[in-house]
Amino acid sequence: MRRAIFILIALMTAAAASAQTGLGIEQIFSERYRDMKGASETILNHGNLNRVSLNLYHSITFTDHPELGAVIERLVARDGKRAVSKEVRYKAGHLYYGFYRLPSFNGNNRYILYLNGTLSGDNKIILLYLEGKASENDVKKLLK
Amino acid sequence: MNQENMTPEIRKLIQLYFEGLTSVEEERRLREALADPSVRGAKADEARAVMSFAAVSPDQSESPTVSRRHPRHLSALLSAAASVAVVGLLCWNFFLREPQTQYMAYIDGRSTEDPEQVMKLINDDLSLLGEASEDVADEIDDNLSAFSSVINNSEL
Repeated sequence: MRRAIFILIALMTAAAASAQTGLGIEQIFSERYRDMKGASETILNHGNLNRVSLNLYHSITFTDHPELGAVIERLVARDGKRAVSKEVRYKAGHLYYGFYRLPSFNGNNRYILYLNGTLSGDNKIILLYLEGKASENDVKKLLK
Repeated sequence: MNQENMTPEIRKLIQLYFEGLTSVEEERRLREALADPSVRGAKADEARAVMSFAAVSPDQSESPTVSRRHPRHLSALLSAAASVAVVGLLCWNFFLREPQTQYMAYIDGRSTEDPEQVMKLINDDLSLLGEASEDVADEIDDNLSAFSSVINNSEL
């Protein structure tokens, strides 16, 4: 019994190392999508974007891949259901823009941002995951 | 032009699927239904396209069924894995005591660690997201102003 409890605590501690795992969008941040033509994935660890403290900036952008909108939208919507707050906009029945603040993890705030520009004449789809001490207002200031 | 041919149940499952609300069982039923070529319609075709595209990357957020049998040697393996995890976590915490900014980007499958290149990508993304965010804020302001006008006029 004691061994089982020790195993459980140790595994939970190790699992707590990453707050991005367990999210549906993690599937998009994978080699399969990263290596597609027209895809660019950006990772910034422990950065300080315009004086906003972030432990992680992780984005993936697809150019000229409108077919991925439905795939990514579904995963964003699923993760977005856990959101503490959200700001979304739909166009033609599909998610055009989403700003989600997820429950914090290990003292860090977590955000998912999504933009499907193919619904407004643009050719880019952006999925962005942020983690850090930055508040919601801090993140919105980053967008200006 | 294909005429739509879907039962209400299939239509409902497709709707739940795109909202990310289907269970593993419902997704299996939907997949089976869409395998039937007699099921026709724009929404059915869209679901088929998404399912076939996502088929190679199975959903990792759904937990697979776990066997209820735990051989004794599995406990020993779990103990060893837990020990390794704890030691790994301690080393991870030690080496990250003073975190440094790391820049990395993959562009068309090629990696780069050039901070300038990475920051340009970040700024491009944030700029597009910023425009969309402003549009949303403007629309909210316009809607609230419209309500305000109606309320103010009705009070006169």
